[in-house]
Amino acid sequence: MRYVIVGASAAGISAAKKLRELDDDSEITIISKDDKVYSRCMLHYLIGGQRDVEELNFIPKDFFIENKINWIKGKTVSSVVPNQKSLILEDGKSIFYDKLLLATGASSFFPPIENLSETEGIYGLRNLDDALEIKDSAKEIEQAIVIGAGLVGIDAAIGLAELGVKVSVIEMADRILPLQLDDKLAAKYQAKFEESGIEIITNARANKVLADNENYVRGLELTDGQIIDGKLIVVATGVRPNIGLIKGTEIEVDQGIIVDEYQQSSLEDIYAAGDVAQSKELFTNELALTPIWPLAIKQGEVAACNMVGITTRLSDNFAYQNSMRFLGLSTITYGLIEAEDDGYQTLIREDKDNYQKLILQNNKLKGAIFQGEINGSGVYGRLIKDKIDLSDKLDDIFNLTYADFFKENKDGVFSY
Amino acid sequence: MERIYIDRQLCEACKGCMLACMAKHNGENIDTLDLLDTSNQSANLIEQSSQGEVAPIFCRHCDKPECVEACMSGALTKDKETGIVSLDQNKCAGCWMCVMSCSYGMINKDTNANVAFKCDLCKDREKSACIENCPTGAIELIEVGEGRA
Ligand SMILES: Cc1cc2nc3c(=O)[nH]c(=O)nc-3n(C[C@H](O)[C@H](O)[C@H](O)COP(=O)(O)OP(=O)(O)OC[C@H]3O[C@@H](n4cnc5c(N)ncnc54)[C@H](O)[C@@H]3O)c2cc1C
Ligand code: SF4
Ligand code: SF4
Repeated sequence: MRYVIVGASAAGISAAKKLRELDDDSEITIISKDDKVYSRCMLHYLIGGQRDVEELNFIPKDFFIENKINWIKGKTVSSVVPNQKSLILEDGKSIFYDKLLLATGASSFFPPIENLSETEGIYGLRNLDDALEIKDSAKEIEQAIVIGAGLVGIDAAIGLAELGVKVSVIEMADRILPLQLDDKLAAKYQAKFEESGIEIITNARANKVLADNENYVRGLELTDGQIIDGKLIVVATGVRPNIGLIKGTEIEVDQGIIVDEYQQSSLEDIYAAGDVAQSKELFTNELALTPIWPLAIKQGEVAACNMVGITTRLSDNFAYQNSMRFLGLSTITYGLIEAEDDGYQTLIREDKDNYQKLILQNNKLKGAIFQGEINGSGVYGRLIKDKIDLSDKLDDIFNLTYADFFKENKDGVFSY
Repeated sequence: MERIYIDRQLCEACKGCMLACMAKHNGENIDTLDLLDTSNQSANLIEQSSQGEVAPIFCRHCDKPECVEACMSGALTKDKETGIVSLDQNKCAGCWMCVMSCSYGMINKDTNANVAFKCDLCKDREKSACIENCPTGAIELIEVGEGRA
């Protein structure tokens, strides 16, 4: 059996590891555009200088040798030819597979802003090269702009601020991290950012990139006419799955490659996992992109099991969870951030340093937020995931621990 | 692999196991442990339910550990032979994805640093400190196969 995986990041690596665990003999090949293995989640630490490239690696040094994996690195796959069961690389070379996993992740999305694509000094933050280039150009400048205050935008802003660059973050919504945080939580972070020299401009839309005579960015004009100075722009307005390589095939695509609960695409022997895949998400019960690290790992493993013929379904494809630590303040959220209508009950407990919010519907937890103290929050995540009835626990709802659900098998395994 | 089996009924909530764990991490023994120092931290917890019943909760070193799957830095790994899920604090980036992911609340923030903190089953010692220090036998190490967690 020849297993071929495209992508050497969370999903691809976890699949390869699992494949080898389950099948000692077969040939495993990983092809990736990346020529290094690194965790994208830590790219801002590279910009800020807290970690070097080596320290972004999330696998053991001898991973490929130990697992007998043939890694073709620094090579882009241009297309997939399903009826020949082959891939064509950028240099024209063909690679044949019996089972294929597409784990190509996603790329930064650049919105249609005037001059954005023509001007020098504009970056996304997705790949190692992005981070290295941002770090390099940040050395020579005093002011930078970040478009988009989602998780990646905030990461970028913090990395740049770490280098002593003054940063302005432009956000369309009325608060930062609008998908992850409610007003209160966002305000707390916003105050912290401003203290540390990161300017936050909300309700703002970028209109046009301003360039100097050498076509180098010098600022950004907003739709209200305001001009923000900055000699570097990081665009963090979302990502798009890398599906270019399957163009022209019959593989079903919507936003990403549509997969079933076995991570199989609409074509037999072709699987997809991680940020490139679109799958039935647990919380919304809808086909959705699930662009978080833990799901890329899980989906990669599930794909691997099915590729070797061990039928395995992904049971907890829960994408509505986030964790973050910015400027020493930690937050973990699950499910809904705000009640959607009157059918929900919202409970809040807060003091100077901590904020907790629980959103219930019919005595089941639908949303949970922990800012400040985050220990033990995983129990709440599970209550949401498993839709556990809490009718008899409402009085003590903020103090639930696993002691409330304790159930242990003979072999010491816990369950709910 | 081995796992700590918990006999909830035997636990008297003396917290000997927690003290032993704290002492171990401080490189001290229970007698010299400074009980007033709130930065002392135990990986295992004696928790109380809303009905007031106590339960000793210990990391399961799960067969399919959610914390390891969530760890984006490579700091958390499960040893193939021993089954121990261990944390390399030097690699940890303090992103709290593991805290978010453990359904039992068994991996948490280190009280002294922005890194995670969890049970390592005292792999550097002959016997786990907690077990050694439990007067009732509520916790014991059992040999388990590759069950499903
Ligand atoms: C700055 C930043 C911070 C983040 N922080 C968090 C966080 O805190 N928590 C969290 O859960 N998630 C976070 N994420 C998201 C997380 O990084 C992704 O969910 C995860 O990396 C997805 O893994 P993946 O394997 O699906 O794809 P990717 O990591 O995108 O990897 C794709 C792989 O495919 C290769 N590839 C792509 N196209 C081709 C081609 N045509 N030919 C050959 N190779 C190809 C690439 O080179 C790469 O190796 C963050 C992301 C960024 C950018
Ligand atoms: S910390 Fe939690 S998820 Fe990780 S091994 Fe222990 S019990 Fe399992
Ligand atoms: S906090 Fe540390 S151990 Fe936990 S997931 Fe993040 S990097 Fe891994």
